[in-house]
Amino acid sequence: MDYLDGKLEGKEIDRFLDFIEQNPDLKEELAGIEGLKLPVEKVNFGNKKALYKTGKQKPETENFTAVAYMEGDLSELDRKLFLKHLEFHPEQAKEVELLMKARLQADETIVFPSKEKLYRRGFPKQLIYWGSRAAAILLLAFAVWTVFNYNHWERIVSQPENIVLKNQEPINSEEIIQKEKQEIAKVEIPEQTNIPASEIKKETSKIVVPESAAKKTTSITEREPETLDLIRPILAQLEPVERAQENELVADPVRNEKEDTQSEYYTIDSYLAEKVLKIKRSDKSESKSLIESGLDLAGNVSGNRLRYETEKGKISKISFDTRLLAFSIPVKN
Amino acid sequence: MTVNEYNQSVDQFSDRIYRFILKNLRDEERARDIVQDCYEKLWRNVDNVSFEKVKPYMFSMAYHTMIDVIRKEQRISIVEDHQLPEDIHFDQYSDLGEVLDKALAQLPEIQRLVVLLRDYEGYSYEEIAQIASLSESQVKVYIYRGRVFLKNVIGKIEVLV
Repeated sequence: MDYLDGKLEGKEIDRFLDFIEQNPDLKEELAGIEGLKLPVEKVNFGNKKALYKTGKQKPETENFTAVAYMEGDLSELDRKLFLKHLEFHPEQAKEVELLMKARLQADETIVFPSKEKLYRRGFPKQLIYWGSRAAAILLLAFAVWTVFNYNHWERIVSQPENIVLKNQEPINSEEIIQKEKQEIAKVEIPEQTNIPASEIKKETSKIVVPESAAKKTTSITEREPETLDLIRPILAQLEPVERAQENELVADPVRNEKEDTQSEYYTIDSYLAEKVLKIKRSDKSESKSLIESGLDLAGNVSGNRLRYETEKGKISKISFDTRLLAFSIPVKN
Repeated sequence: MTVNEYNQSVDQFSDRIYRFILKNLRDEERARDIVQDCYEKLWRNVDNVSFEKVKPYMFSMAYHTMIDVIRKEQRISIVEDHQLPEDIHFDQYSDLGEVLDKALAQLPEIQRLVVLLRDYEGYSYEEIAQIASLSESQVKVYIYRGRVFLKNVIGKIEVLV
């Protein structure tokens, strides 16, 4: 095969030909191979034009230069050359124009919505800021407390017993006892004119005044029920006075409410009701005093619009006088 | 940086950072959170950051926070060399800004970020490289690819028109 391909040198060719002469069978075989030849096919590449190169730049290079021009990366000389190049190549000028259009523009209308949250204050401003906040909270709390307290106060004032306590000035219990003794003496004396003075004195001396009520102010809780039964009507008026003196119910409504909730005090209504149930029907002086006490109470509640007149120690007329309405009722004894 | 300078930085840059993040995430609530988060971090380091450097500092922080958010959510994968979609249909968009907006959303994350920093804020290649922790040549390549893509999209629209 090397002989046929022409790869053998001169001496090798001579030796190969001598060998062939000595072997006639190989000589015939060689002659057969030498006669073989393949026909030449006429096949041509059809897209030669696509492979032709010209002096024009590659598209990537064009784009790169255009982007560099757009970004201002070209030197002054290169920029001038590029602009001159564009004058002769309108299709590339159009590409540059598109690149320029593709430059992004920030939308100035979009703003950060919560900018206020980002601001910070210096220490003094912060102190003022938080101080004002704290003051506002305190003010609000005070306002709420005041409103609540006002409502509470109104509730207390609307209760007649409290009005009585408020309007009544603290009176010394001894003075009251003396006063009541005198009143009883006045009332009793005209009816029992035949009774000697010594008996009257004896009768008045029967009035039992507990030492605790006379000398010191006591709360109802300290008093025993037996003692309460022995108290004469005179002490019914003493009790609210004592309460006002000792506990200062009007000035301290919270305390008043606390004490009320304990249910250990009698309200005036309940106290009077209890006394009414317990008094003897024959004891006129006691019932009279109770009526007077009730009228006194009503007079205090109504701002002295309800009054009564006594005649010979008995209630003779009850009158009610307001700007819109006034009337009086005579009372039969 | 003083408190006044800090507040000044809020006035000057909060809107820009917000726009930058919003353009990338397209989620107002998340963009707002990131801006607040960035300024919170700035306030914590207010003594260590000078006012002159606060802008790249803030943009860098916003950029990295945003990347973290994206990666956490795995909403968008950051691929450096993204195969740009050839057949994007912009027929329904008539306004150029709208077309660009849509095309921008099609850009790979990193290309979009650098193009936005370049166009919105006018940062130099060097500054963008610092913000995005890239080399300057990488920034150039990303900007080049992004711009060519946007140009091709607009070119397609013009052909259609």
